[in-house]
Amino acid sequence: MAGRVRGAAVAVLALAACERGKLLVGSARAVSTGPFVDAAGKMALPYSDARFRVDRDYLYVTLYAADEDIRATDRFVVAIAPLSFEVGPTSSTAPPEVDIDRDVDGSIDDGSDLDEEWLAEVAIPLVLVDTQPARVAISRCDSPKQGGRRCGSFATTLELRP
Amino acid sequence: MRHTPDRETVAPGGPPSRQIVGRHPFTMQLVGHSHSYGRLSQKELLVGNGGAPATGSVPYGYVLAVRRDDGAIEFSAYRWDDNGRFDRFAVWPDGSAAPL
Repeated sequence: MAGRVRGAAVAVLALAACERGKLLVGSARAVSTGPFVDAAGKMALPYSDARFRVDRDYLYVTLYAADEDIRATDRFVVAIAPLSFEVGPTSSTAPPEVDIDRDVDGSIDDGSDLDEEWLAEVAIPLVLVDTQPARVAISRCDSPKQGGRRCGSFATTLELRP
Repeated sequence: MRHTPDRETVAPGGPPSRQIVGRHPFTMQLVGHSHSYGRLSQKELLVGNGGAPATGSVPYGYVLAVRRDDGAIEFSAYRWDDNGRFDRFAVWPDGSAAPL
């Protein structure tokens, strides 16, 4: 499982290709959302992004979270119609058919140090989602050490071309 | 200047280089590794917010360090987008706090 999903992340990252407001997602390269934005439309801090790739069977979604204080309760909220689930650095509410691989660069639930990032590579069977169009909305909120609650999000329609 | 903060003990080379630095007097240790900005201690300044994915709520930016006529060094941190200053402090050559 891990080998198949990891292929989505190591593929050369292409700039997000947009056509008529859609994000074109193919099998050759992963495409990125770019930085998530906050409610004001500015780059959200801490930084988050998502990357997509598709083949005949799966939609691969890589969720990246820069995070100076990783907590087990941290979450991405992923909505790809009709699915909606959460993905954190240690757990998820995704259906069992969805495979998830993770990498955590830092210590979980330890505020005494400075963490760097965590990411989750999610493989969603295409039979579980409405692929044409594939509406996707992803958000993440975090509590930086300086205090407050910071949120970022991304939403678009994916045009899948396996 | 070195890559990792003193508190980082896992990254290769961190503890050995800290021992070397510790044998010599210095005014301020500038470090990165963590993608943020902050005064980690009286003699350690984290300037890791130059462009890598920001791990906290500190804006992307840069730091200017200027040696004043009285011998103190004044540090100013600026945001990248509007060059607005969001932190400023000064130290004497021994690293102790100096007035602005």
